[in-house]
Amino acid sequence: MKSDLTLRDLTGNQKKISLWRNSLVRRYLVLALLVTVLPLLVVTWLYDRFTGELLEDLGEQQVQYSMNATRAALSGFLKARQFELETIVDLPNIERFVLEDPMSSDLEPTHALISFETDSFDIYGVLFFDAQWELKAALPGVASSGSPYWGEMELSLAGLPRRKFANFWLIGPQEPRQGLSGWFLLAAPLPKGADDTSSPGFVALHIRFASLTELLKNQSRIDGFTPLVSTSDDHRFTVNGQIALDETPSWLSEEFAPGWSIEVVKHDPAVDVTEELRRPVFLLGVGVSVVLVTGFFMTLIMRTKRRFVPLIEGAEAVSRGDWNIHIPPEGNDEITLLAKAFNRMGGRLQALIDSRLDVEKKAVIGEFSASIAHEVRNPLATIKVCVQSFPQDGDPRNTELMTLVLEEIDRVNGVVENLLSFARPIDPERVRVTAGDLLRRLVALIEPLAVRENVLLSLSGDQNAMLCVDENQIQQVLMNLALNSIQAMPDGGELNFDVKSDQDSTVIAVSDTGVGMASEALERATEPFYTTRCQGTGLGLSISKRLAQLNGGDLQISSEPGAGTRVSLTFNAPGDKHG
Amino acid sequence: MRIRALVATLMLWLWVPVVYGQILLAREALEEPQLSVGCLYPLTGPMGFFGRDANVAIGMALDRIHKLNQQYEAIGEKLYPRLKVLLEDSKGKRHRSATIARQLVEEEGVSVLCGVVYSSIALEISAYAQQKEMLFIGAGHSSSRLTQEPVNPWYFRVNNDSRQSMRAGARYLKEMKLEQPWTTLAYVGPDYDYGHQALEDLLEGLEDLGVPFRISGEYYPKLSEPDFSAYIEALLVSPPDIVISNFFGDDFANFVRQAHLQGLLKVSRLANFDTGGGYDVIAALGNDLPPGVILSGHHHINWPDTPRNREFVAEFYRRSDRYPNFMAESSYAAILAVAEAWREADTPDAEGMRRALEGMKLPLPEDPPGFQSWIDPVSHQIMQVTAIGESQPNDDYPPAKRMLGNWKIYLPEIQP
Repeated sequence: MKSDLTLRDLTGNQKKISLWRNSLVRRYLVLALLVTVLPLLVVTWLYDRFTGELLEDLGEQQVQYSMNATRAALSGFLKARQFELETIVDLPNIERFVLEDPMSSDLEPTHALISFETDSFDIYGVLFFDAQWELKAALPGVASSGSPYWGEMELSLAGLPRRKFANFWLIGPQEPRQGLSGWFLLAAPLPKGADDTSSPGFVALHIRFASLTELLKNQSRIDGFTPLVSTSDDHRFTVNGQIALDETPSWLSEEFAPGWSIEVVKHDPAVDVTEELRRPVFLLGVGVSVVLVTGFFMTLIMRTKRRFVPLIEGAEAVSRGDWNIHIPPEGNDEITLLAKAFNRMGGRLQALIDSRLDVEKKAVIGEFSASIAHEVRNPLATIKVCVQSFPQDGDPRNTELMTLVLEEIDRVNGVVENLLSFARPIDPERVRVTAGDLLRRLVALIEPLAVRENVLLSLSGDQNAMLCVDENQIQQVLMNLALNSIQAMPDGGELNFDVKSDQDSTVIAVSDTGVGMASEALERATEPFYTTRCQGTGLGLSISKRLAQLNGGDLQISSEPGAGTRVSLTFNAPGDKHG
Repeated sequence: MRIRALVATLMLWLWVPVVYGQILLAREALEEPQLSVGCLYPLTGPMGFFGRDANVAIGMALDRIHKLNQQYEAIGEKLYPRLKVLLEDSKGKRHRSATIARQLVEEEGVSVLCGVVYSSIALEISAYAQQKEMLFIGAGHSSSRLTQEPVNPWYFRVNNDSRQSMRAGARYLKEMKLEQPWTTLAYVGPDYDYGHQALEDLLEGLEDLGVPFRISGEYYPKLSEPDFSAYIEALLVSPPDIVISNFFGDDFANFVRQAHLQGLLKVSRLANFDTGGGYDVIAALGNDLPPGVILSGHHHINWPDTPRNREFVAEFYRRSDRYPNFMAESSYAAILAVAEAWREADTPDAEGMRRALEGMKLPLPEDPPGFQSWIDPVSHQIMQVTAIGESQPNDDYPPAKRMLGNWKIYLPEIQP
């Protein structure tokens, strides 16, 4: 970014101003970045540092609290099954299921009661074993499937852990295998028959293992902790009753049945891509924010520079004496107002200086003209008298020469009169007069000349507009302007006198269709002694402008070569005090 | 609660503005029934909608039999029997079902049992029917164990079983491999006989077709499980290409809704080849059923587009102001099968009907043009076409927001 500005001082030496190093905006930028980014990074670091630990602590507390509830749920599930089993054991003829056909009509009432007691999706069925744990009968429940209820009556307890649990046996669990769910047995010895001396065997509830592990569900919802059921054969099972593949040692363990525990494994929360990316994404976000903020301020600096540089250059130009400065006003803000004020200041200073120069110039010219006129007019009068005194010899040639000399003396005298008029104009005697009166009188005077020069005269506009001017002086001004216009139309043309008036002013515009003026001539047209005609004195427009100003007006010329010239005489509207 | 479908049907007939029909039926109603059928369906509870649809459909079947009798009478053909159908609310309970079955047979004197939604209960009723040497027309349950060796000679099933559905599913999966290659399957089914048997049937079907695949997991949530989140999370640990689910009714609707919410359906295709395409599931899911789920059912209300199927659906709607789930057509088929067996039997007893049912052809609303349902004399399983489709936006059958489309049709693997 180009941030330097080269300026030239009053002595002409160049100097560079660094807009970036010295910029207020830059300072604000650095400050804003420090104020926003530093606390953000500090807070983020603290958040990152402590939130993880806090969540972990909260998770640990939550696990410990919910462990109690989970343990109660699991042991409650087993107790409910124990109660069902006790009810079955107490049923009449229950021991006969080991020895007889369970579908026999004798056992039908008991069978119906067993079915009623175990009508649950948590129980696959009720099994009857003899004293050697050989399966003798299998009564299917609603969730039963395949063996031993349908097809082959096979169920092996070999290899399954067997633990005494109060008056019951807890056997299993049998882990799930392909096509089969996991299960465990809760068994109780059958009561002795009337003739028996020992228990004929056992009755067992064939229980869906996942119904037990699913009770871990609430605990499994705590992030970073996995609850498992550990059984007496050191197997661990997930909430779905599947063998757990996670071998992480347990962080918390609580037994809910002999050899069966709830274990909670603590580990880092599952590595989630979005979690892993969170920190880099956050830092990237901070970086992007810094870049955006910096970009914003850089743009601000560039814009500010673009607005301030013309002001600085303008001030520098004024210091060098160049008053004709114009700072293009962009936008509508304080800087625009400053630029406009600056432009007004330059314009007014230029006008003041021009006016001062004009006054001084006029004073010098007036003094000079008065002196010349005085020194020339007296000898000229003497010369004229002397020439008129020459004797007439009747020679026509001499008579003609005499006439020429007298005419030249009169012309020089006219020039001297003009010089005196310019140098010491007569104070105007202002009266109220309509523009129409002035113009009609003028037209009457110049009409013969206009006709001869093939110039068409016309009046337009508000002829009743009132003026408060010296009638003779303004008549002289208008005559001067009209003659200039006629002379500017050697091949004829149109000369229009137009009057426009409003509450504040009256403008009399004298427009011709003549040859017009070049821009250089236009600029100098009202300077004394400036003329483009060989016979001109260069005082006509100077005097006209002076007279207009003496009458409270102004004279402005606009012209275009080949298209004509327009001279506007602007007078303030006459006040009531004059009327 | 006991609903006597015959009485309900008579009430309907009395409203029919045909004088002849009223007189005939009044006369029929006054006469002793020639055959009593006892049907077991849950009419209340979570699966009660199955039984309520069966109730309407049984009435429609009785009306059809009545109408055909009028035609046969006019031309002097053998008539269908005067039927008495007792529909009992099993509530989907095993013990209650077994008790009611005994009461129907031993107290009400029914000659034929029919219905039953849960396969494990059907196994018990089937064993009881075999013990009593009476017919049990299975309609509503699907476990193929009931029609596998050793076949109960008194058991016949009139809806596709899990073996037919899953073997059709295996053919679908084989074809799918060409368009959308897949390698891993996971299975989620209800933890009872039907759920386990269905996976066995699918695996057998895929192996017979030589389709290479790998099972990435199998899960058996219990029946009526409301929360599948733990199982869906387990599936999401290593998402398979296709998840096969064999839940039905509200269980399947819950599973789909939760799988959709947990993002499983974004990473795996879901298929249910047996009953997931039932209207009850589709209507219950509404907009929660994403397009592209592969589904089938035992009967579809928008396939086949035949006059008989359209008429069946329209008549059901007229009677109940709702569209039927597949249980309606199964129970309808059961009553027609019983009546047809009695009419075709050489002796009007259980043995005669049993013999008539073996190999019997039974035209049904779900039969596409050129195909007629028939009962395999070996397995006693009805042979029907399996239509598998994909869920698509469809507002033609409100309140459902989806229906199946993009059908693939699979004829039975054996011919009569």
